[in-house]
Amino acid sequence: MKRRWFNASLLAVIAGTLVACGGGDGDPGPVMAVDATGTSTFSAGNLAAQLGTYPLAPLSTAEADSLAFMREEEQLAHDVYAVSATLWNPPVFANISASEATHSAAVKALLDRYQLPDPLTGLPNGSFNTPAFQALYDALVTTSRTSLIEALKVGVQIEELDIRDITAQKAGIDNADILMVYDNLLRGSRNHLRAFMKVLTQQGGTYVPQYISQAEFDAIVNSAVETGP
Amino acid sequence: MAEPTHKYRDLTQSISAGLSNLRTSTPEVMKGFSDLGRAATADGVLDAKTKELSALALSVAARCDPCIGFHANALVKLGATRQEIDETLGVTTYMGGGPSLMYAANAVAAFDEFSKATTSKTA
Repeated sequence: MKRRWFNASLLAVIAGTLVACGGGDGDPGPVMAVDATGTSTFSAGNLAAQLGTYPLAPLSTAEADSLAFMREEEQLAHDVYAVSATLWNPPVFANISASEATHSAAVKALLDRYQLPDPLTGLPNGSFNTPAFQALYDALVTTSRTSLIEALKVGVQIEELDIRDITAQKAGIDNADILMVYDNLLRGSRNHLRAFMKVLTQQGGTYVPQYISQAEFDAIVNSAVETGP
Repeated sequence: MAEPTHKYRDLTQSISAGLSNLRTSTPEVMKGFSDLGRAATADGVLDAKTKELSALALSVAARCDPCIGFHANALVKLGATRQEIDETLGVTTYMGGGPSLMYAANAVAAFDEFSKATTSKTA
């Protein structure tokens, strides 16, 4: 699937939702919906409505760089899980892959809002603009192909990486609209980490955190799915 | 007691968080305000930086500390220099007198705080 098609479809969904909402007063609804398994999906229409209420403040170089970075990192999660979904039976891969597509689209919405170029324009799934992301994707897909357990561990690893990176990047960001999206991305990553760990444990697998502390990892895994901000 | 290191960053982020309830309860009002801000500060005959300098001057005149924080941060991101800030505050003080001069000091502190934060991030 070409990303160009995906982006055009997303814009159509956003436009359709806004028309359906009628633009009246009232709560536009939650930016992110979370189901019982922890799968956390952005609502494109609600996000667009919510972003419209934020001021469009000037962007620092660090903020612009961060948006390009997170666009590729969120897309990497989608693309890796999409491959695993074709290889392994547990629905967690397809469910979270679909969710990650909305995470990547949420960052794309910010890039569009600030009229920044999309680093993924014209690239098919599994291809990245940044060599480090391409190398990481290739390595993670290779590992995911070896066994179900390894694919689930890759899922936990990606979510753990997201948690570390989003947390670090928030320190360099002031614009409230970006922080709102990143806070939701973080909540989604914690929920997805819980979901992958649950299935991994059911399958008899174990995992040692690589990017965050054991204490932080345990605190996430041992807490309930986060349904609200 | 020492002043907090991130006084204006903390202040602006606290205000942004506090506005989240209004974004939910009165989204059309907040969108209207956002659209007004976007239109008023966009590049035109006056460039965005000049418009933000005007906004900073009015923030000082209105004695609005959070406004001072938001517009000082915007000016750092737009590449304003400390001399441009100081000369703007000179006009503000000329028109507003002593009380404006007191808040002009706050504006300088806010600009320096965000400038220092940006420098340390890019170093």
